[in-house]
Amino acid sequence: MSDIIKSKSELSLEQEFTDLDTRTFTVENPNTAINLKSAINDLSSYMAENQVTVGDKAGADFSRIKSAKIKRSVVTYYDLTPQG
Amino acid sequence: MATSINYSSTASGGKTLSKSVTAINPNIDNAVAKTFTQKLNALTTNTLSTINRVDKTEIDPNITYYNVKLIFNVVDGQHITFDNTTNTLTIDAANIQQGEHEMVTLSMDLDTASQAHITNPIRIIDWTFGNNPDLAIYADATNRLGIDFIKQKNTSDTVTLTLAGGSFVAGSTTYYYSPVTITVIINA
Repeated sequence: MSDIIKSKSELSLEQEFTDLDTRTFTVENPNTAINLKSAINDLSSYMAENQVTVGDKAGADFSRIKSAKIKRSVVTYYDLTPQG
Repeated sequence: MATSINYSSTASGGKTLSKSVTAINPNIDNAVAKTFTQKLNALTTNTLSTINRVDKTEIDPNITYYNVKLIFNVVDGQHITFDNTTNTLTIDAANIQQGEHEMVTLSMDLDTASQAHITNPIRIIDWTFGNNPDLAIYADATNRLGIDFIKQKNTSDTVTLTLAGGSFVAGSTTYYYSPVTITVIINA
């Protein structure tokens, strides 16, 4: 049995509110085939204009998506079966 | 105030990845929720399948939702008229006696090309009548708006009445409508 390698990527979007509090949510498997910066800015504008967010924030309006980052991880599961 | 929504996504291979968060405003406009889903969907190669509001209504981005304008047809309102263009209910209180009931049936029509006629239960979610001791207003189980004249109304008044939004199905289409605010003019 050989080693198993699993890779994963996720996009974290940090929402900022008028009281400077933040809420972060993640989207699995970001679509890197598009202009992600442009799409995120477009989403941010729409969220601000319509006050639609993801999360449990209450008591303040949404301002913007403050930051966005893609995290990629590669996990290798070693096969430790004794050889020979 | 911001509206929060749940979302879930399906990765390739059919695995569902759910993010459960608390929605704080159940009255999100459905068209907005759909557009938001589409914009969020664009960021991922997953398929965002549903957006769940706190009232558990699923919004499928593949279904077209209509924001409908309600047109009320007042039936059996002997001293009441309704103007659909201004959403104004006018009550001729001068000809209504103390203790008299005025039951008004509001049947709703869609202001769309399909012009579907529906009858949905009326639910009052906010009314300034509550502060008016001369009248009692309520919605009964048969889709009628009831107005009771507790005392003789001798002064003219203008109050507002808000009816809850809702949805109904006509054929294969689900229609959603937002809460409706009606101006009520009482002519004493």
